[in-house]
Amino acid sequence: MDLISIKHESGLCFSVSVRGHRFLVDMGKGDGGADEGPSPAELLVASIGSCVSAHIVKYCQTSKIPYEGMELNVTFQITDEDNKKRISHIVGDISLPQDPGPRTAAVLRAGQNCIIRNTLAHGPEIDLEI
Amino acid sequence: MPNLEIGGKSYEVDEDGFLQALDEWSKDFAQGYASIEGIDGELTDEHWKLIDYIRDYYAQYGIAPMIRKLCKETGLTLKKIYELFPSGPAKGACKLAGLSKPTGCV
Repeated sequence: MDLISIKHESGLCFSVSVRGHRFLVDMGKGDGGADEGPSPAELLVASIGSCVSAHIVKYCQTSKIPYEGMELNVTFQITDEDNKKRISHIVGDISLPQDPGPRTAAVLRAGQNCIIRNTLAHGPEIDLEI
Repeated sequence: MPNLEIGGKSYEVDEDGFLQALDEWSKDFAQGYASIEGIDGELTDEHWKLIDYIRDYYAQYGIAPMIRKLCKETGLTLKKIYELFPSGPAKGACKLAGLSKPTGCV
């Protein structure tokens, strides 16, 4: 796997560099940041949404289901239990150029079988050192 | 707690702008708050459909509805809900509906 580098820029803003790409991550102004980029939670949900979308498109390609212009709109809910905030629900609406009809369940299954969703379902070990 | 002036009336809100007393809510409050939330002009029937559903659900269950339920019961897509309430169902619709800050739901 390639190295992903996160570097402090200012306030709660960080730059993320990976494979020659660079983008900013920040908190919103209401959460103590300067809103220079999406928040970590938004990025996580965007990551799931992108991964789900990629798997749906791959399934549509192999199954000859129209997918051009496919769109996924996604949002999430945060819960706070004993001062431990976490994302409790992720909700998405998928739009395809045509109703997949009897293949709808298969399309949804393809989307649910993405690497990010599978990763979160099993809770990866996170090993950090200073 | 800060106060918010809408239509010549003062409302007590929390630090995120959510109304503290549900029974102080009125349609005038929602309409007056709309422009603060980035909604131009009069609230439409679709805005009211969402606001009314959220208030009815809260009156029945004491919490805000889950997002998917909100979509299914109102027949509105997520995209449409965000078009109606640019701040989203929790920070926008629930705020205009006069609910306290949702935890765990929309």
